[in-house]
Amino acid sequence: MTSAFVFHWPSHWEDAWSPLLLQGFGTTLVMSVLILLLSIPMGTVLGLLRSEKIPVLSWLAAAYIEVLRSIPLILFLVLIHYGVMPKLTPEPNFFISALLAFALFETAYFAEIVRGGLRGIRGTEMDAAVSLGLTYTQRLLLIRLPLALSRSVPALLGQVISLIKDTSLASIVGVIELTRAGEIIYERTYHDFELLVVIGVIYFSLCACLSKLAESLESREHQNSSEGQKLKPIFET
Amino acid sequence: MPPFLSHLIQFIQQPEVTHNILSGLSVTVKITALSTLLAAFVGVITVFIRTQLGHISLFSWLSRAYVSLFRNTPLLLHLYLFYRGLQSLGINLTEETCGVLALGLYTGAYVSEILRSGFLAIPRTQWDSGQALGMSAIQVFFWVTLPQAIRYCLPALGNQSINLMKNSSLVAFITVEDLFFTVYRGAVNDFRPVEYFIVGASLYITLSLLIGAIVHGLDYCLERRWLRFPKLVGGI
Repeated sequence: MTSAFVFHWPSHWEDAWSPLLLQGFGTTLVMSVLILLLSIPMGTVLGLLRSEKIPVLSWLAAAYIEVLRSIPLILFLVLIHYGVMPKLTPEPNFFISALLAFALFETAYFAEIVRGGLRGIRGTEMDAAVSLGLTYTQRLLLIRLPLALSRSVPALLGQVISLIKDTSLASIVGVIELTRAGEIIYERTYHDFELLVVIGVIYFSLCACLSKLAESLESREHQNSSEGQKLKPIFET
Repeated sequence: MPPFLSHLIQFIQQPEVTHNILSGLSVTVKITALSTLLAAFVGVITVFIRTQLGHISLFSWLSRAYVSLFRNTPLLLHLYLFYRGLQSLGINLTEETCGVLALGLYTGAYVSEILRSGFLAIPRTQWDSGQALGMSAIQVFFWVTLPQAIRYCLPALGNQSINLMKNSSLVAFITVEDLFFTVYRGAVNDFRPVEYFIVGASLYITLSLLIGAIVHGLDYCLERRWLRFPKLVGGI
């Protein structure tokens, strides 16, 4: 088998860039965007519920978050597709169930990020809001939540990166995304090494841009907060 | 007792179901333990290179390339690469070894990133005083700064270990018969998806609670100084 290891770029090129792979990439992107649109609002609501200490609702939110965060995504995916969806609809659609499973799963992670952001906001901002006479709801919706969301952008971006990587698991319920498209071409051509490299480069270029963005945002945030600390004594005296 | 629960208890009392699921569970535990060791080893080596040999541009470039390559591509791709890519190179490893290698290297990148943030939190004076005592760079790294970095980011490392345990379910894609594999096969063969997946999910939840408890206990022991580990300067 050693002789099999030859890069077959030229003859393989058109296969690798065949419409299937591009379509797969499109599916990956569309899935990621739809999941984000669904799960960021749900995660915000759930994170708020958990951090606000409302008797029954916060316990439920905490239970939901903890359970979903400790099972593997792939198990949740097959549970939704083979276990739950057939009971809800007579004709389960694999794309819908993958979308639903991913959205519910990511909701738990986004909720944790939002909760972390909310926990980081205290002190002078809240004192200022109270002294302006804002009510509790106004403080929550106008001050705390926007601040928490804007501060947790780097963490959210990190989660988006792992979401993009995790969409490769959707192939188990039959969604043809980037990795599955590569699998199909592999089954046709048996040149898997080159294909894996091409797919890896596509994922890498997308995720590396996002992580660079997250990194630069984080360092800017860090600078801002250290400037804030430097200014602090002037306000206090 | 609700009917579904009694149904579930009846389901797990079937001997062949219990046997299959337990054998899958043992494979998952084994793979998780082995790849945790590999990830810790790789993470420490990488962070050593990044913090101590950072001035040699080749080493620093290599370690940065390793971390960003593994962090920005899906684990599934690494599993396939180790499983089929190595085969086409003429290296034949068992599926489990491929799984452990891919998981360990993937998590090692995250571990090195976490440890590096721990190193950033250690004051420069620690390093200087180690040198003033006449320790070599390697001695200072392993006896002074590394234990403090580990102590500092133990919760994050524990999270990463739980993530590793959850990610280990992906080795089913390269036909390792782990917990997810056995649960999935059982669900497909017996056509009882809900029962199998709920039992599998509860086992995974138990495992992650267990790892969380171990990390918590370790943290507690370190705080009480029951285990010998340097105390953090200035506290966390």
